[in-house]
Amino acid sequence: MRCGLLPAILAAWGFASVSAYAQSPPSIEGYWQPRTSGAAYSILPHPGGFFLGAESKTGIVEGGELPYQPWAAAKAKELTQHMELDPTGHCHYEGIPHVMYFGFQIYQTPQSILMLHENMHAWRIIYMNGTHPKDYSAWMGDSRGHWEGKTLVVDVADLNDKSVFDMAGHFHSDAMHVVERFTLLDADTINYEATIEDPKVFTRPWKMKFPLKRAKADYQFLESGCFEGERDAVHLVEGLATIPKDHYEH
Amino acid sequence: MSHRIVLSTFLLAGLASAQYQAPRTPDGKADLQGIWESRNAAAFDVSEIAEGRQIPYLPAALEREQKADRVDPIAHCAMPGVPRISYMPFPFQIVQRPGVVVFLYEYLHNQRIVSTNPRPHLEGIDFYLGDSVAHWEGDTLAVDVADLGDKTWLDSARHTHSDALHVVERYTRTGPNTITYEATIEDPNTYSRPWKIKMPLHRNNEAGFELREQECTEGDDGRAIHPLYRPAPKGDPLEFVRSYPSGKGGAQ
Amino acid sequence: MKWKLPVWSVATVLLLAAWPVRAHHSFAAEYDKAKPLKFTGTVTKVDLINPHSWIYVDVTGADGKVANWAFETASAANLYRRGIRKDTVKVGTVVTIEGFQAKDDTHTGNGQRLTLADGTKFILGTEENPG
Repeated sequence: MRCGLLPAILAAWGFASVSAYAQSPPSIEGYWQPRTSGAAYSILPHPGGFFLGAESKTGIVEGGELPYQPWAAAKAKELTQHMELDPTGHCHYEGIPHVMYFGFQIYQTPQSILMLHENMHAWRIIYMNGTHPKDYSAWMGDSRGHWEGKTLVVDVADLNDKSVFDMAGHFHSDAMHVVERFTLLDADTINYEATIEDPKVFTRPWKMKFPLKRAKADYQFLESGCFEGERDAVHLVEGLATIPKDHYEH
Repeated sequence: MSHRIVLSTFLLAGLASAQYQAPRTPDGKADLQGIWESRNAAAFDVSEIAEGRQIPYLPAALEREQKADRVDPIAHCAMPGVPRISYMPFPFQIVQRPGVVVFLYEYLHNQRIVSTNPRPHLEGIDFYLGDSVAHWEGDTLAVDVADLGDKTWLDSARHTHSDALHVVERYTRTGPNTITYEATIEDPNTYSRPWKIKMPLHRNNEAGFELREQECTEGDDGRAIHPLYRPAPKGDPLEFVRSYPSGKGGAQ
Repeated sequence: MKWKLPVWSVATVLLLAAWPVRAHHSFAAEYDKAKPLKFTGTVTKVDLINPHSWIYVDVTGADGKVANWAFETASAANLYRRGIRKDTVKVGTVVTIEGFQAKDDTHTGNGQRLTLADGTKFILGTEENPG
């Protein structure tokens, strides 16, 4: 997948040079691993052992706190006590920006940038043209991107109110609007920054930030769907398996 | 569109394919990129697209199936497996990069990253969509799929398989708006011989058409709300499946 | 832009399936770090699945009674990366498994470490990122 590519092939596919960084726009193709210090547990600073997760002295939120409106701060506190409501615990999509805490493969063309995550086989297409559709709502929203120098800027709208930021109950509404900035710092590092705007829940826009590191060249992408398996078979009842008796008499 | 018209269109497309020259990607491979749809009911009964409309079941496998007391795994939001993902009634997009063909399926955001650089299959692990390794046979993309496990079905009609399933898919661009999809299905624990399915994939040419998100979600009553299975208004809930018995389902 | 389903697929069937209600990674809700476990027992079943695999072990208690314990572990994909294949942990073999017990005191645990009969050791726990 990430083989040594000849400059001629790269050029033919719309890239100017073999050096990822020197190209304009740069190539960010590859498998990227976020360094979030346990953001999936909580995006704010949290002690070690929290949900059996890793300690984070910093979290990923700029300033270390979320500018909740008073009612929202109360709700977030309440949600912390109801982890059973965490949608990812039910194998739902993480959504944007939550899914970005998990490793992903980028494929890049001049028209679009694909991001394919192992986790929950999430994917999105960042279109480098067009506008957000109307009357659309999705866990992953709708992504439109453009380049500002070495930075891929992605405007994400049409997000639903079902996704959450982490397992600690930090939430948003369907008014959330996310602007992501992927800045290639060197051949193996991207700085990921997302500005979160949600006037229904927060008093001002706030930012989250963490680095993405390029995975080793032999990294093997493995399907990691979310499916509970036989352990939950007791919850299932007869459904489509009710097939007419003569079905097998071909 | 009547079945007759569809059939003759398909035959004409087949004749034309011998002469058809697929467009090229910059590295000279056949260009399969675009948004494609199967437009048939094989997801409900795969025998619709089976060669001879027959699935060569071993008697023991038939018995195993008839005794199976399970619900279609996709009703629980499981990934549908290969080849079923290819004929789920939802569009999918093919994107090619050097050495890789990416399949993005609208259906429950399934995805496959298929390397066209040869390597052995991974061992000792199963995936819902298996482990895919492809190579080019001229203009045909041949995808060898193993490690499929035994947790998927080929359709809603309880056509199952064992973990010995091995599938070779072949994607051949046969016209500006068609890919011919063929798959050879092999499973010595289930079938008496390898058998084939074949169907056209149709390009979606609608201006501005983009894949959207299909998620399997949880309703207020705690039941899965599957994008394919929605409550029927009245009457026999299985009527739709029964209306597509083997050999009678038609490409629309 | 309007999203279109093929017309025939709209007329569909009733889904009778109930939704599995157990959250899969809410460790604090399910497991108690204050209740560490270490058992040696016989493997009865191994389910290598995502998002979390399960290893079932028959354990003989101090009273001589045998109980079947279920240990939740990292995903099949992560176990694969640590060298665990479908045939690595064989049913019928004796293993030692360490972890934490479920808060509800059932015979369920969060598996952290596994030692096979030949001494081979594996980390079973989830990594920093859950899922």
